[in-house]
Amino acid sequence: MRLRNIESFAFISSLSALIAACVTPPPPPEPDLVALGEQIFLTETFEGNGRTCGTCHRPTDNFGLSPAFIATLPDDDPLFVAETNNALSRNFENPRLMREFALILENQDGFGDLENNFNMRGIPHTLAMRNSIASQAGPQTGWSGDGAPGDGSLRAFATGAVIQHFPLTTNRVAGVDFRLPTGQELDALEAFQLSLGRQVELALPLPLRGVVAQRGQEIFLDIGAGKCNACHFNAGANGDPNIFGAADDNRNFNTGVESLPDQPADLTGEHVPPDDGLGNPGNGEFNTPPLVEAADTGPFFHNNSVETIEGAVAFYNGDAFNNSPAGQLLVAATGSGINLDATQVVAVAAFLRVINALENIRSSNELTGRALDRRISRDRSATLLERAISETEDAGEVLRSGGLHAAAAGTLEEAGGLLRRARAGSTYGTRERFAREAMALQERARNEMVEP
Amino acid sequence: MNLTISSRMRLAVIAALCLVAVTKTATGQLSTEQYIPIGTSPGVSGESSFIGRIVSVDPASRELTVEDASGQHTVTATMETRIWLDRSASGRASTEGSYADCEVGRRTEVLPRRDDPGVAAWIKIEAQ
Repeated sequence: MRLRNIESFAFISSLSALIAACVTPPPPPEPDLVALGEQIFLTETFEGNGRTCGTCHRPTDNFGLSPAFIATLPDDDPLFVAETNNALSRNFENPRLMREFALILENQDGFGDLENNFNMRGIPHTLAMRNSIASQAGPQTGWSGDGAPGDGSLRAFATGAVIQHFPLTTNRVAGVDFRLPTGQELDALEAFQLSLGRQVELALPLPLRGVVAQRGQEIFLDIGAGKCNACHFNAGANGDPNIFGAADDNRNFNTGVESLPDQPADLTGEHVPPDDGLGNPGNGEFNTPPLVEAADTGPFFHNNSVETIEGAVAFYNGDAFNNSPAGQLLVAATGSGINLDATQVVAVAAFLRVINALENIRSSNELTGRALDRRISRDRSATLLERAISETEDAGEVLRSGGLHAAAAGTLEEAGGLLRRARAGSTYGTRERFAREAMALQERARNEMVEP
Repeated sequence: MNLTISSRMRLAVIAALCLVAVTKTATGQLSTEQYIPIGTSPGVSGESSFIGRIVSVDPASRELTVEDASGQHTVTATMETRIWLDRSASGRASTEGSYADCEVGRRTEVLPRRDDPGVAAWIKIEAQ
């Protein structure tokens, strides 16, 4: 009797599903709002100077922008609008600092004195923001956590970005020099940005295979040694809830980056005013970024002052950090500053390189899986594969440049080649075959770095 | 691997790091806010601000009263309150304003402070 009921239920369910399939169109391949947001992010100029969000947040440069990527761009790229538009030739960008160090001009403290009142800041990636901008004080956007006008949310951020970076002239008149994003556009841009990258936090420690990265993870987690996990819980952007008492709490700190000697931008002799961080006048604080995404998104810190991940870890050994307000708090709380030897610095960096490579592999395989959705266009598939290739190449590069997991790096190089063949494939079957082989290779590379 | 910290050390960390707890400003970024015309501030206009005409001012207390569809709202403009002249309707750039620009009859948008609703975080006044 029970079995017959189950069979009847199954039959009715199947019939219902069949009917539903006949009368209900298939769901869209991607959420509409996210797809709309991507289109706006990459193509909408808001009737301004030609820039889009994607001009500075490049999909194939981790939705950020590095000097190496800038060097590949043609001179008529909208990024260089200050070099091609006379109305923006003064006080809008510093072309030298942009080309050499990927620094963008920001008027965080107002537009009243364009000649003297500005900051030169790097372009942060827009990955993993679902996990990295929520705080007790409200959303924290931009390098000092106060990047958005309006209600200060990620949704409102685009409005401020258009005013700062998109105008035809520095008069910045809405309706003349640009148009402001509509409410629907802001909704879509927010949805797209939140969809990018890692959606969940890691749970450290990971069962890493490499002894150096393994040791780096220990130092990272050790409150008596690296002390990194206190402010980068699980290598993310939030404070340790066991210390700060609240989950999902992204914070600002004054870590003394501005006190670093010999900052690259300063060495040029260009006018680079000190950056006072959050507020006006600023309190010297900057926002804590996630570390999982760090190794392939240098240069580091708000002013792109350190090129390598090893250098970024070593920063916390130096006087600039240990004498800073944040460093002094750490001394008061733990009895000592951070004082790692070179091998320990490299070990922590190796850990950051490995978790970055693992995230790149996850991201690449997710993008590749989406590219194989039969419901999307060939062009859309190619775009997704382009991003997957970029992630795979980054994974190999962060390992190679750290002298880590040579076999995995080789496997990733092979996977990258297969993804390129998949992108070029003339039929779905060809694309699928190469893509699935690439995904399998990437899983193999992953298993060389971490136990399943 | 040392994943645990002593209770004493943890308390010390908590005590010290709590000193650098929330310090964020009460509103969004003010520099670009200046260039957003009245009624179009994202997440603010129509939600937490009020938009209407100034019906009275009291220079002595730096108060102003604005009337919108829901009634009258009185706020104080402190020295920290940002005041801007919105000239976008005539195609001109927004400029800094002052309390003296808060004249009866002028269209305005006022954002009260979140932590002190009787005080204006910013005031936008439509230029004449």
